[in-house]
Amino acid sequence: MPGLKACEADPLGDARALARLADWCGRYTPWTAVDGSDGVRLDVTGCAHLFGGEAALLEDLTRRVAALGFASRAALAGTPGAAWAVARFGPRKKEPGEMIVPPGAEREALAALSVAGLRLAPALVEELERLGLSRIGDLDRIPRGALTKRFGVEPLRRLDEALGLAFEPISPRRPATPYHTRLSWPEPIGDPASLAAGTRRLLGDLCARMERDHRGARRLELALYRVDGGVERASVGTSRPAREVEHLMGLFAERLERLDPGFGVEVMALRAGLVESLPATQLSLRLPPSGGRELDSSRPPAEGMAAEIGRLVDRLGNRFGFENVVRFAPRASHLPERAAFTVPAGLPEEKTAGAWPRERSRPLRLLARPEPVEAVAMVPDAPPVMFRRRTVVHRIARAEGPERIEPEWWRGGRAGKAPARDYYQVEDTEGRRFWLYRDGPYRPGASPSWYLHGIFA
Amino acid sequence: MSSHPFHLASLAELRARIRALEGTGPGTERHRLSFGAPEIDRALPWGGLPLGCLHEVAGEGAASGFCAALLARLAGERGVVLWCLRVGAHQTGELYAPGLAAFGLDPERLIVLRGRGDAEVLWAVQEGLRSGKLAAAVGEVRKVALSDGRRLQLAAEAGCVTGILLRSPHAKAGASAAVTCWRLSAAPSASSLGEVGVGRPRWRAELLRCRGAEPRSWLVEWRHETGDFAVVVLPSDRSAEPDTPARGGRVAL
Repeated sequence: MPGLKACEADPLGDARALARLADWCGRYTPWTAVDGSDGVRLDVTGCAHLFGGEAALLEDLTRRVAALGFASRAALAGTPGAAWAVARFGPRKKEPGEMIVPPGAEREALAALSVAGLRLAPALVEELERLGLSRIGDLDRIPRGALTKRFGVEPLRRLDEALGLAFEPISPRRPATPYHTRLSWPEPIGDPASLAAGTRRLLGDLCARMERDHRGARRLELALYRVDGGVERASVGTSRPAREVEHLMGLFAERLERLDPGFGVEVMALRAGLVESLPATQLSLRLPPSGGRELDSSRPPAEGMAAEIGRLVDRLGNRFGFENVVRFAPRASHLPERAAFTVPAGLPEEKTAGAWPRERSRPLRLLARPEPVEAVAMVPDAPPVMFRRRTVVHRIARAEGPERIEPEWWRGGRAGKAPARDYYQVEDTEGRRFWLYRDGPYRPGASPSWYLHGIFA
Repeated sequence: MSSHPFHLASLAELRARIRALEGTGPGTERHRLSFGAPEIDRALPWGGLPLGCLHEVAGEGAASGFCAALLARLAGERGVVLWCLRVGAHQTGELYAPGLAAFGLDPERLIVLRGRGDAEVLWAVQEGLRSGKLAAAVGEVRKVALSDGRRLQLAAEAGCVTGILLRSPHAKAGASAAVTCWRLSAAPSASSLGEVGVGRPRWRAELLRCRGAEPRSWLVEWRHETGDFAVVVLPSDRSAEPDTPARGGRVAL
C-alpha cells in the first residue's frame, strides 16, 4: 500500500510523551495520572466550575489536546472505570461535551457497552463473549455469587468500580496536597513583571489559607503551563514552616528569573508540597531590640531575631543548597577529625545539644587530610625541633605535648587498627603555631612519620 | 587652639556630625566594640571598633584568630554570627569548631555557609548584613572589588550588622571601602615565669587604614580568661616609639 506510512515504534518515547501530556493536564486539576499506555486520567472533582461546567471543560480539553497534535477521545463520568469504558467503547458523540455520564447514571450508560470496557484480561473477555455475555449489562444481571464462582473476583471487582460501588483511587503524578491554587489568564503572558505579580497573588491566597489553618509551608512548587504544552516548574524550600508572603516571594524571585515562559503562560499553579503546623505568633508587648546589638544580656532572645535568622537561613539555603548552610555539632569522639560534624542550620537547637570539650586546646583550622611533613625530634617522646612543610623550614621555639590519642578500636576495621597519634602543639621562631602529630609511638630504628593536622591562630 | 570648654564641646559635636555623615555611626557606647586594650581603643576615633560597618582583616592563621576573638566579643551572650567559608582551602584548612572555644566563641552561635567562590561568599555576606539581626557576618574571600566593598558597606549600615572580610596576606592592599583595614601576622608568644610551653596567642596587628586615624601597629595578646586583648610592649620596643595617646588638639577628620 503505497500510501501507508510506517515508522519505528518507540514505546519509550511514547511513554514520555504521554507523561508530558499528563503533566500538562495539570492545568485543569492537580490529580492527573497516566492510564495504561495510551490514556490520561484526570480527577476533576470540584474543578469543573472553574471552566464553566463539565461540558465546557471536556470541550476545552479535547480542543487543546487536538491543538497539541494528538487525536483523542475524552469522557467524563462519576467513576474512573465508567469514564474509561465510555471513552474507549462508547458511541462517538458529535460534541465532545456530550460524552458525559450524568452522576448516578453509570449503570444505564455502561449497559450497552462491550465487556472489554471493564478492563479485564483479553482471555477473560473472550471467554465471556463465547458464553454470550458480550455486554456489561449482561454481566450486571447475573447474581454476584454466581459471577464470582464462575469467573473469579476480577469481573465483579471491575464492575463494582465502574458502577461506583467500590472505590478506586487515582494516584496522581504529583502527590496531592490540599493547599494548591491556580490562576489563569485569557491572554497568555510572558513578561517577568506579570509573572511576579501572578506569583504574588497565588502566594497571598495560599498563605491566607495556611494562616487560617495555623500551618506553614516547608516546600512550595510553582508550575507555569505554557501555550505550547510545556510546563515550567520552580520550587523553594524553607528550613522552618513559613507563611509570610514577602519572604516566600523573595525566595521565588530568583527562581522566576530562570524560568522560560516560551510563547506565553496561560495558567499558573502553586502548591505546597510539605506543610507543617505553625501556631499563630503572639505579638509581644515589648518591642524586640533593634539590630541585636543591645548589650543587655538579661532579656531572653527576641522572637523576632530567631524568625529573621530563620529567614536568612532560608535565603541562603535556597541559593546554595540547604546542605551548605550548616552549624557545628559536637560528637563524642577523641579523634579530632570526628569530634565535630555539621548539621543543617535549620534544625532546632535541641536536637543538636551536646557538650563541647573545653579543656583541651585545639587548633582553629583543621586540615581535611593531614599533610605529611618531615620533622626531626631529638629524643623519643620529645616534640620536634624543626620540621619542613613543602619548601618552608620551621624551627620550633616552643612546644607542648604529647597528647596521645588512641584509635577507636570499637569501630573495627582499618580505623580500629590505626596507630596511636602523639599530638604536639608547636610554635616556630616567628610565632606561627601548628598542630603536628607522630603516627605511632617511637620505635628504635624506624623513622616515624609526622603529619600536620591543624593550624592554630 | 583654645581649650575653652565651649570649643571642645562644639568640636566633639562637629566630629559626631561628620562621622554620622560619613556613615560610621555616632561614637556612642552602643555603637562600638571595645578591644579591652586601652591603647587600641584610644587610637581609633570611635573609642573602639565601630559597629554596623565593614572591616577587612588580612593574614593567615593570625587573622582567623583575631576575627574569632572579635566575634566572641561581638556575639556576647545571645548574638548569632554568620561565617562564610571558602570550601577547598587546602593550604590553610577549614574552620574547626573545637578550636573556637579558645577564643570564647561558642560554636552554637555560628551559622556556617560553605561557599564555592568569592562571588558566593560576597553574596552571602551581603544577605547576612542586610538581615539586620545578626551580631556579625564574616566572609573569607580572595579578591574584593571596590564596588563590592561599597555594596557591603552600605548593606552593613542598612542592617546595622558588623561585617568582616578575611583575606589572605598576599592580596594587594589597594583601595578599599572598608572603614578599617588590618593586617595580622604571627608573633612569638611568651609564657609566664616557670612555664615552658606555648603561651597565649600573640599577633602583630597593624591597622593599615582607618578613617580618621593614622596607621598604627601593636603587638597584641589574646587573653582567654578575661576575653579581651592586651597590648604587649616588649622591653626592646620601649625605647623606640613611645605610646602616645590621641592628641586632643588636632581635628581628626
